[in-house]
Amino acid sequence: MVTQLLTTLILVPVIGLAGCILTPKKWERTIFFIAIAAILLELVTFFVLGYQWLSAGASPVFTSIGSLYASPHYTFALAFYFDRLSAVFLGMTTIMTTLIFIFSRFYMHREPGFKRFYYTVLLFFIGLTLIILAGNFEVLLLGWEFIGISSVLLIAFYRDRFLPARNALKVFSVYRIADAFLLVAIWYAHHIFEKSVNFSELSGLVAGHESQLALLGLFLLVTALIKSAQFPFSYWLPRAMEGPTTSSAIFYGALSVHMGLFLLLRTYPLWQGSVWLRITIAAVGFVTAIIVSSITRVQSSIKVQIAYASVTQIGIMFVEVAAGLQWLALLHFVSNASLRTYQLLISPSVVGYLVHDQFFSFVLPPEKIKNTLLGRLRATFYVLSIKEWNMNTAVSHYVWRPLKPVGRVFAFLDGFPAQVVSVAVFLATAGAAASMAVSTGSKLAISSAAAVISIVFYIRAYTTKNSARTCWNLILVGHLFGALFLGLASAGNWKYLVIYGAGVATAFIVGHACLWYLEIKGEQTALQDYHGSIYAFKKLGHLFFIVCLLFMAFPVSPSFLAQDILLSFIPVSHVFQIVLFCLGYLLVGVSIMRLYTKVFFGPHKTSYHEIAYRSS
Amino acid sequence: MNTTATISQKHDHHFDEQHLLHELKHYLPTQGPLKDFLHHNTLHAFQDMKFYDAIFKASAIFGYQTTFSLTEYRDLYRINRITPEILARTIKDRKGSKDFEEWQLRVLHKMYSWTLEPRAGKLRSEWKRQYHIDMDNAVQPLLFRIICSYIDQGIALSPFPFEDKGLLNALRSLEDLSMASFFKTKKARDLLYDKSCTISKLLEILVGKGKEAYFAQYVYDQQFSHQGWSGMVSTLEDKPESLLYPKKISLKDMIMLELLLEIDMLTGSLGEEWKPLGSNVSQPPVDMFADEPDSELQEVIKIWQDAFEWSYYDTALSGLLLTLPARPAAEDTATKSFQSIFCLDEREYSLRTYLESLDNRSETFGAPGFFGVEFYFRPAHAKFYDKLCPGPVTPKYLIKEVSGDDSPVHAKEIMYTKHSHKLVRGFLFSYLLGIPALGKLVANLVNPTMSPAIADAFSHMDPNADLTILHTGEQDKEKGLQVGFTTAEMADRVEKFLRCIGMTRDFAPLVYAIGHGSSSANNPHHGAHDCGACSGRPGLVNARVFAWMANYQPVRELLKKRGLSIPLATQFVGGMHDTAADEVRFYDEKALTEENSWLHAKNKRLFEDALDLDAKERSRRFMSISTKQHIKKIRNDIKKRSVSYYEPRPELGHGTNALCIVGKRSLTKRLFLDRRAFLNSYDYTTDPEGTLLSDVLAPLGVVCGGINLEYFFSRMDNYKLGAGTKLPHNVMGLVGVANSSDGDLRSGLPLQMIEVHDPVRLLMVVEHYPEVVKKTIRANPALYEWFANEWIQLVVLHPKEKALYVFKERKFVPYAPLTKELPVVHDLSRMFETTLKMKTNHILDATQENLPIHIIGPHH
Repeated sequence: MVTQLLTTLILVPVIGLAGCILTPKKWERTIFFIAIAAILLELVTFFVLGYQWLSAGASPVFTSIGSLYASPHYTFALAFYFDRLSAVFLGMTTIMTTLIFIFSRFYMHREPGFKRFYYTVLLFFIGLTLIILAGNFEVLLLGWEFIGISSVLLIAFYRDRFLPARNALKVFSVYRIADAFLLVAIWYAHHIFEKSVNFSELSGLVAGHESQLALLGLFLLVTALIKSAQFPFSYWLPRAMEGPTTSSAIFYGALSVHMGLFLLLRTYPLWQGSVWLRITIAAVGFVTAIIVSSITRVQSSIKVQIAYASVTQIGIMFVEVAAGLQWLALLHFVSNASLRTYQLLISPSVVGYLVHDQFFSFVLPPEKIKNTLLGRLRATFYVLSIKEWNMNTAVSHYVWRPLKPVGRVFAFLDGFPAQVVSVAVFLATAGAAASMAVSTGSKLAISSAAAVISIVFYIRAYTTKNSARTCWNLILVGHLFGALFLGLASAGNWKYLVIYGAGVATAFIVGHACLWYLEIKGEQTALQDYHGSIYAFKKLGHLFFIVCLLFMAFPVSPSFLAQDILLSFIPVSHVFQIVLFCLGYLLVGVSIMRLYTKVFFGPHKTSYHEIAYRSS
Repeated sequence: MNTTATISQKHDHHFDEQHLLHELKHYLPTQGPLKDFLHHNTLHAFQDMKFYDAIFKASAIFGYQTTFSLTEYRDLYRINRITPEILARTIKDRKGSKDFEEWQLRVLHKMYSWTLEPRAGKLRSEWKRQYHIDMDNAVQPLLFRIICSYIDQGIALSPFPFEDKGLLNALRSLEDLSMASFFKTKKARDLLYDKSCTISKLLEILVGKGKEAYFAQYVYDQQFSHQGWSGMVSTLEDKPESLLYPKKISLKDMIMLELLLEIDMLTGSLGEEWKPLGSNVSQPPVDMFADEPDSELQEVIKIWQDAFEWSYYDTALSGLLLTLPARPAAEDTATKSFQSIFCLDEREYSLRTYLESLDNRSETFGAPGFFGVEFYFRPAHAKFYDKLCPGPVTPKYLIKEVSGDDSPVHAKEIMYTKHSHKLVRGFLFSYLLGIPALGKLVANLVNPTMSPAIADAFSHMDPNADLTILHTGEQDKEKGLQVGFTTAEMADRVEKFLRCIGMTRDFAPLVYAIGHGSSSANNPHHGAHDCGACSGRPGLVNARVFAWMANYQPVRELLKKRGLSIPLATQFVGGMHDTAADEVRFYDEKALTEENSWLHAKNKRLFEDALDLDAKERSRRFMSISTKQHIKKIRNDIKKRSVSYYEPRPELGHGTNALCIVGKRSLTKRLFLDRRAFLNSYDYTTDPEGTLLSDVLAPLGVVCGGINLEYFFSRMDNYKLGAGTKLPHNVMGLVGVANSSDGDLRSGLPLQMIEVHDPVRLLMVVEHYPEVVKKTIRANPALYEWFANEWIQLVVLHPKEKALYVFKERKFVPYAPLTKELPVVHDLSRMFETTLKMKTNHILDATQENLPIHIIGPHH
């Protein structure tokens, strides 16, 4: 029964999503009806499940409803887990989403993206549900990726303006770092325990792995702190609030931003034994709380202020979790999420309210900063806080900017001859590797070299300012070397390589055709600026988005599964290779999303219609 | 000859900082802080030019989209919103009959390439070409954050330090104390400290010595890449009093800061040595304000826009003629049951219609909603004054609210508490307030009610408090303002007001003066829905003050001496109509005589019925309310709508406004104008020489013309001239809205306010003799400009000839409408049940929601 209910919880929003997508966009009522029916059914299912679970003694439930792939060596099980943590988070998520759906029916009325709003929010909701109900890391990663993708769509909801397009890419990029760390963590956990880990059995697994668990915990912490906008990644949260107030309110004010906290709570048994890790988590939370609350104090725009206030509290929640006060953290989450959602929803009213208040009770702020040590500290904090402690610039400076000189060195790869030569090298190496017996040592060397080459191509794809088709080619070559690397590193499981290759090749061909069509139609595709082609090519834009997901080996795509399986063959001693793989995974996603946002999002610079200012 | 040439050349290359600042301020948006939303012509800077020349020029300079696209006009023609007859006539009028066919072909079928390369922005795009630097993206976020924090009226918990010193001085003081800096490089910091530094000096660094020819263009490019913030700073510099929390800021300081940040950015990423932009520039300097050459496309667009406007105007003008009584009706001498004076606002039009139809012995009047009394108002315990009169007027009077309560009582909304944003208290609040917040959200979804977080139009005055309307003597002054009015001053105002609307005899026992305001939730633009004649505030105080004055016996005696006799039994009652909630409340009802109280009670029921019908008419445009349901249910839904956080359209504001009719109410009484007409009462028979007419018309240009053109341009280009959709708006410093954390301020009107609007210029119809009207408007140059430059279209209805004259090329020429008959409606309420709601807010769908002009036939 519980299994059926859990399955229902996953299927209902998926059906709702399909229903919304299939409905014509002018049918507001129908779209709303389908969405609200789905979410109410979800809510009822949740209550039934909750009731049964409570009456059965509220002990955790683990169930697997099948597997995407199963072999003696590796299983991708669709496993689900329901305990008090899932109950609280899922209850909150479903209730909030229900309320926002009702709210948005009127709020979003006649907005050109009414339909898009509902199905993107459902997609987001599916992602959250998968994370919350995940019974293993694989399902969790699936949800994690869904959130990344739907975030792009929600942040760039107003895709015909520059800032939403840029910020969508910005947030996706930083999410991708988190995803890469999660991937490392999954791979590492797989090797520590020599199997795919079920969340139901975490506490039992700990014994004997203490030293490795601290490292695993660290990977998870980085994932969590990025997703929960902790220092030094807090800057992405206010920049994610580009969409309609309603979606900003539930996701970035409340639900999505607490997912890092969820990850920590979910994996609590794994890292609770490590004192050092607990101290680190508390330190991250503490530093965030102090610094971000100082940023909050100086914010003169209302949504940004609320965003940072929420992050401050999540910092405190990290401290609570580290201290082992799980119930307190859960209560804090529920309360903080509700408060920030409401504060964001009523934020436009603040003009009338505060001005009216000021009209009767205004007094000039008395204190002036004096030239004392304290005064100098306050001035310093003020300046730093206005600059958001340079977080935004620092991350771009230390993470993304270094890729530019590297990319510039390999600018010649944009040329067709270089690409042909690369493919020839690939074919020769692959042929040689397949036909000849190669020693383990040279295999390792060749595969690592292939990985490095693929990363070089991805970096070039990330930095090129030439046409989108050039970039698309670069990514393909990157994929080829990536496949070579995986093939060699996983000791030649050709079956999976074929699956991987087939997925990528299909995406490559369709994507190339799409871009070619755009160019014929006179659209700009050079990646030095945003072109907003979706204004004129909506259907093509949607198709190309799916192609991009396939091309970046998005979870549930065949290429992803193949990649994931191949990955599991890489032995634990080859940490270096795993790092390379995750770097490649990070870069290919970011490069493809950069290409997509630049070609399809932003102001569409034809002059037969109004164009938004770049600064708006 | 030679000398002059050298001098003028020299003059061309000379960079005059003061002149530039002056010119910039002229062209930047002048929208002030949101709390007082004053409608104005968005392209006011071009108002000294003819309408079409102005909009094409503005478009060429700044890239604004000031008309529909050719395809849209042709589509409007296809759906018959632009009619073939009017189009043909327009082509003939503009191009003559000889070339008619050729022009018709051009208008209907010829393809034109429509390229728009605004002059602003060209020069600074060189940064990207020369250095691969995205200057705007790199500098603007920090610039906006500093400016917004500096101006902030009370969102931040810590105010900007030293904000009383001026922007640059405050930055210097702050940088002095701080161990961190806003600047990355010493070069920029040193320049900040150098007090002799000027804009030219910084431009020499950025653009280059000897490149003065580019200086002004550079600053234009820069400031118009973020005209929202620049416009706000410029407005605040000129009108510092528009902020409650005083801030000293100037456009010059802002430009200096931006230039410093640009120097800092370049030095930071390119090192100490970089060549200024001018040293390698690939384009000649552009004269920003050179005239735009005429083009064939422009001619075609003019024809289309004219045809679009006249397709509507023609039916309205035809309606006026068709419903004119065949012969002057025997003067309606029947005693009036009651009279009500409303604001001329087009949103009051329907309520007036219903009041008159429910009691055909009642009568309504329209006039600017400040009722001719201009003053500042200080609510009890308030620390500031509210200006309650049209924007350009500066009152000398103050009216104070005197309340019996000792302490200010205004309710608080706990969810807005700033403590929740702090570290420690935020910790407590985030535990305590969460569940109540969830409860409030559910409550507002299920049953929305008024709360302190919602702008309540009625809350601007305590109905039980007294007002200091009567001036008590020389000493009664406050901050240079006279408290209250003397009897003579009151009599002057009441007399002028009543004479202007032609209300000089046949007074009913009760005369209502009804101001208007608008309540709404989650609406930073709520000021734009209040009374434009009261500087964007509800007009309830003015209504109450006016009624008090008109009731004051000494005033009555003075009026009597001046030949305006108001019967003793007549009493004036002030009130206010909430145009969003459709509610009316009355003031000082206790002062009514026993007999009038009884009549008033009866009238109040009538008002209620009229409001029901008004709500029903409005509901036809609201998706969330079914027009077919029970009328009381509609009324209740309308009221809830005004207090719903989830409703971005509590009302539709001035959307669809198109006409302004100055004349007797009888002119429009038999016409259904779909709430699109400003109605100003005026009786030409009482003013044959037009002496009053000039007072009547004077405010209409600014108030109605301003509203109309703001809607016009926000509709045409909602991205650059309007504020875009409201849904992602983020409130900045309580002064404006932006889309994002890093975005520019968005001035103009949001999408939700303009989507019902058909962008037509205002058509003003005056009932009088053409020569009198001509003489009157000529005497007032500011007013004349509106008509002569065609920003407002003017038509005169000749009272004797019963003919129309249109003001064209500064002359009145006869106008014969092409429309020969109009649809007749017998039951308005029934009609609204069947009208369609727009499918999308694209103009093709949206315009079909606006109903054609109907003649109101007898009710069956």
